[in-house]
Amino acid sequence: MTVAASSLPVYALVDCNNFYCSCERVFRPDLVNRPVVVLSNNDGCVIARSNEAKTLGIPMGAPYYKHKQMMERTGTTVFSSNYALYGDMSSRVMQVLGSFSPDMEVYSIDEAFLRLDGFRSRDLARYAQDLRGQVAQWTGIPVSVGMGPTRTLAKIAGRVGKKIPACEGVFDISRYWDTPAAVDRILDTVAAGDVWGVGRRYADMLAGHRVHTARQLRDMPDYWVRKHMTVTGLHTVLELRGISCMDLDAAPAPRRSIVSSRSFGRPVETYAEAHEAVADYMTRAAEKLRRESLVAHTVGVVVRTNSFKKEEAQYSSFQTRNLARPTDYTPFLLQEGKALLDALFKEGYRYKKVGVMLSGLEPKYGGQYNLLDCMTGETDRDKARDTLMRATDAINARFGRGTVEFAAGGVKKEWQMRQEFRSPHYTTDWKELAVVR
Amino acid sequence: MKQALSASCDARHGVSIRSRVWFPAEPFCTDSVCTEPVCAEPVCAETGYSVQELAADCRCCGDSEEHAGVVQRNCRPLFLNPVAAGFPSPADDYIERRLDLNEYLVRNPPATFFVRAQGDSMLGAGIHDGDILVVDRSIPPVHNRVVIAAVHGELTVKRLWMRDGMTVLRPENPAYPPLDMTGVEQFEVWGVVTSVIHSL
Repeated sequence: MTVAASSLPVYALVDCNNFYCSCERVFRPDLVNRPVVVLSNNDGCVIARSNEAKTLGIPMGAPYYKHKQMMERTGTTVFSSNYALYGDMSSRVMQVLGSFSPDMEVYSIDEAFLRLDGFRSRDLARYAQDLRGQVAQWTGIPVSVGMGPTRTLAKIAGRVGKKIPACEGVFDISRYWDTPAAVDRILDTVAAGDVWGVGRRYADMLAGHRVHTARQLRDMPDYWVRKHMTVTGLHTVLELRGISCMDLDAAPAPRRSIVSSRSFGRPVETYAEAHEAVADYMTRAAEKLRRESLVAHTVGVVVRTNSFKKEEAQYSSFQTRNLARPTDYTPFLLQEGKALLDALFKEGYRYKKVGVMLSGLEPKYGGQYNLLDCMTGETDRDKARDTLMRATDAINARFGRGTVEFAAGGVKKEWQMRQEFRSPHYTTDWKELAVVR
Repeated sequence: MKQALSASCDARHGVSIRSRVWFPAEPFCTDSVCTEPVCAEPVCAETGYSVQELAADCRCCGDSEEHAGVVQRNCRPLFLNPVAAGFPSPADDYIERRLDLNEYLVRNPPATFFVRAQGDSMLGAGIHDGDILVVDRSIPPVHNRVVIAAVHGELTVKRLWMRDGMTVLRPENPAYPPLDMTGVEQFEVWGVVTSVIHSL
């Protein structure tokens, strides 16, 4: 810790506050300062809470039915998740953030890392406040900013800043870098398990060795960390000491797999319905595949009964098939999905969930051509297939999802997930715009 | 007779297959040894096969045997570029992008939202029931702009009047009274209306 603060890099973590709830509030000013929660797919459990809902003591991940009465009594507004809205709001926030630094990594739907080294000559706290102000003004989403010499410390700074109202959403741990005692005090307030990259399993192991806070973790000897937490854990510890080991990934790592799975709105017992669901999810997964210009080598299908219903017969299974030729062509994938389901599906169970997985992904245009395919005309037929897929994707993009569909996905889709409290798609559907009087 | 740029032609004369898409072939063999025209037709860049069924000798390499095996392959042409025929359009040099309404209506995409107007309180400003309003949240709400405001938890469109320390939301229809917002806490300007999209 001999390095002067002025020569350290500056990482900023920008984090949207209670992102899903904030998105809902942008179009519902009546909900400002009132408790709001957002439920997971199928209205299962709470996945986002406004500060007011946190104060009411509604736990993260709480099953909705358990807290339903309490939420009604306290006037908590409940939303089903509206990913079309959250995705669009996220891209707006990220676009605004992009104008504040040339180096940015979108880390998740509601978090981004920025490098602000070049802005050190200015008042960084002021710059971060400008950023917060602009995001809030332009998009309506409140964000907080944590800054530090490494990504791990920036993340900690963000956490600390949120807890101290006087910070007004901006906290820079580098400001204390020249007074190690202050840094120690800050790191003492953070549990070791809350340090980015530590996770539950390591937290338990660390507690066993009486390492409870971020400061204690930071001060563990390198060889010990390496032995117990591998080299990745050592990177985390070095980052806590202010030595940057993880730079920004400007380009996100290529996907390894695409999963499309959801719980049913009600238990599904017939093969016909399960097949519809597999086909529907496969279609979505294939769309995603094409959107990212990838092809898949492997297709997997999973089926599962509701393991929470102990009184019911339980069954779950997952199988994959390798494809002779990697593809992004929906009909091929549908065939594979059906073949897998045929092998997996057993009568007499009440299924809660099915899902499909595409893996062994590679760039569509980077692959090798197969001599045999050229000889048999397969490459030409592929071109026609691409044209068909491009056309269906374009129609669905323009006129809304499901305008043209493969009939295998079903027409009524009675098994579809429950979304009783979904707010309108304010920003992605002309028919669902917010109304002003 | 049309000729094909076949794999064997390629080897003999070094005619390059330049990209992995269909393209109109070189009109002439690029090899200095060969001056014959090779391929007057587009060929499949992946296979090097002709789009035409080729029956006769290859004029450039003079070999019919060589081609016989490959010619049976029936590549259907997919023209990415139209083949030049006749005279070029005199407008070619003047082609620009077609006008895009987004560009005209949306100056700041991340800050721009569309909302739908309901009612007739802003008829005087040309806002009818059912019109779509383009709202830019990045524009400062100054005196006399038409704004979307959050009043008592509801979104409303009115003209913002800020003078003499007073803040008033004024409808543009004599049937409605102005709303005095001076000192009202539950009041916030949500965004500034920049355009009205009205269908006829």
